[in-house]
Amino acid sequence: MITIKGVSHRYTMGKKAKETVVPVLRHINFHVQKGEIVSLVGKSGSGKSTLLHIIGGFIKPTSGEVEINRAAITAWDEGRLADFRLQHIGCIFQNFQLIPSMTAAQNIELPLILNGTSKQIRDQKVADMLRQVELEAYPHHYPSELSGGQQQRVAIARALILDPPLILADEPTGSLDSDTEAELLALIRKLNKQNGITFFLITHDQEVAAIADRQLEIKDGQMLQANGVMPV
Amino acid sequence: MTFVDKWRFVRQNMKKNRVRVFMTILAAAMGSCFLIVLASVGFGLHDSIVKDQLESSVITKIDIYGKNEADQIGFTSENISELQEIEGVKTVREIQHLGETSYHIDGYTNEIPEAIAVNFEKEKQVGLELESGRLPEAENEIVVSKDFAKRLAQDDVEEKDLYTDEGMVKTEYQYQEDLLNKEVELQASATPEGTNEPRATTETVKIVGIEAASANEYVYINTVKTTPALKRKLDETLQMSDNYTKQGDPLYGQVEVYASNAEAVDGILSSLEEKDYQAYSNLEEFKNINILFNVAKAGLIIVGTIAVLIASIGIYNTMTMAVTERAPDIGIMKAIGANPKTIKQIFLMESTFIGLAGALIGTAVAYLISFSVNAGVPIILEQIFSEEIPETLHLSSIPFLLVAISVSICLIVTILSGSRPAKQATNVDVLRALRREI
Ligand SMILES: Nc1ncnc2c1ncn2[C@@H]1O[C@H](COP(=O)(O)OP(=O)(O)OP(=O)(O)O)[C@@H](O)[C@H]1O
Ligand SMILES: [Mg+2]
Repeated sequence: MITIKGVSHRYTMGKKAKETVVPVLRHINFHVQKGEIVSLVGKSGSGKSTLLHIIGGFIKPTSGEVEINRAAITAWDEGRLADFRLQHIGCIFQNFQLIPSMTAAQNIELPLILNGTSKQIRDQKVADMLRQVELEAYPHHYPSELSGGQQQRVAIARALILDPPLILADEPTGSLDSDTEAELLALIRKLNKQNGITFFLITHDQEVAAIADRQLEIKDGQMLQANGVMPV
Repeated sequence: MTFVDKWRFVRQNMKKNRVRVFMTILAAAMGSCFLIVLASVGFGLHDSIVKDQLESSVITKIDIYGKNEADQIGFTSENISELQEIEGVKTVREIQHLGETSYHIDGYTNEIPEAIAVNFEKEKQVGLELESGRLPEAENEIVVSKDFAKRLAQDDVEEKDLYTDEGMVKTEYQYQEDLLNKEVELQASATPEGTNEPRATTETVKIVGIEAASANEYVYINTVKTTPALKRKLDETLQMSDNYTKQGDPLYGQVEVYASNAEAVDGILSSLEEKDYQAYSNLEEFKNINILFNVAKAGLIIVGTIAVLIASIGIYNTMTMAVTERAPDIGIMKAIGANPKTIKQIFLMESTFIGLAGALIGTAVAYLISFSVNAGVPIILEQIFSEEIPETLHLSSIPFLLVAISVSICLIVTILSGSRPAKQATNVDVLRALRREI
């Protein structure tokens, strides 16, 4: 599902003449199989989010290649990436990233609208999805009128509505209490078992990491091997 | 994303900023209204000054001066039928000049009328109208112009007392009675070629009709029109054989060709050139007047466009603010997978809508203004100058062409001014937007 080949990334900052270069990722290689739940752990600032953004196509790596579903996306332009992301990748962000002027139902409906789905099918799919994330009582609530956990479920529903084969999540439980967190983890496991969706989760929470089939660890921009040893 | 859904987004966005959008539409409407009203004056004046003339004989008349290869003076009947054959020709008016003639009645004399012999059937076709009487039928019958009587001056008055400063006969010395059905003495004189002895003859002729006055009250028309038969009779007595061919057919001194409409004039002129006639038409001058008016209209449109350009600054501002305000939402949409093209289209649709709404409202108001100007200004002018304004004068006229031009200008300008903000929207950086940095 995800193949990362020799990916390195450096951020360039400051003005042209006196720019500073911050190396963040160094020669990362790994592979995630279809239907796997993989978690990525690492210290703050180790480059987890950067890696996730590269996989999602938001940043182009300085070098190396990314394949999603056998598509080499690294060289694509923004338009093609956007279309691909809409169909193949569901993204769950740290701060939910819901549109505040839209209700829960409208936020969930958004990918369907972008996709050009007809209104009739849209209404039906949104209703189904609201039921699946147990928000059928809150379709007309605005994000500001929902609790953190509810907002997170709206974000998940929005990521799932087009049935993408891959979900990327950055700290999905970051701002949730332990009960809500447990519910969310149960939902992720259910979706993985029932629909065979691949999950790539960033977390520094051991409970989240525990539901993963496999755990990757990043340290100083380098991927540690399964035994926790730095690659040579 | 379907068009309907994009339009829904546009509507929601505009609803959120109702006042701002309204003000921008207002500015665009004022710009396009100004453009139309300004240019409509050019269109209106052009219409009322030139259009009337275009349909009148002034423009359809072609004067024929001569034929290049022929050594005869004047035109033969063959020439006339050849001219009549040309496509687009309505009438060929052939004219014989009577030469020097004067007219005497009860001690009054008209010395200097333009006297011609014409075919009265054709005169009717080219618009001869009588105020009273009928057209000549018998040989010794004539029609005179309305002003003929004003030139009939009393004989026994000293020449220096007879005329006003403008050279007109003083009213007290003018012939006062009605001329219709009066008999007058026609005195004709000529000097046949080859001799230098002038000859003279007199004929008693009857005025059977009086022409209607000219539409232009400042022009004096002093003419006498009579039959070709009288012309022949006078020529025979005066022995003026030059006015006839060897076969005895009349030679016409002047020929006018009338086109069936203004559009046909160009074609006729080129046919005439092919057939070696020397011709002149007013059309050339009218073309110059038309060019002048079209340049003036273009100038007015350009000045009006400046108003639209000023309005476009408002549109640019509004759209830039809309993009800036919505940058976080745009970021989220892009993160989900909204194509930059889609986002650009949504913003372009919004600015296009503003431009279109402005143009339409502006056009409607311009029509109202134009209507009230046309209705009101003549009344005001009449009050001020206490003189009647001709009904054909339209100060402002909005043809469909002007509306099309203004709406196109408005649309082009708004799309252009909306395109940069729309481009900005597509350039919103997803990650920075998600971090609420913009
Ligand atoms: N846009 C950027 N420009 C410059 N440097 C950046 C940028 N984004 C991240 N960095 C730097 O790259 C490094 C890795 O950042 P990243 O966000 O990937 O870490 P992370 O592992 O996700 O941390 P956390 O767990 O705190 O979210 C950090 O040192 C950060 O300062
Ligand atoms: Mg992070």
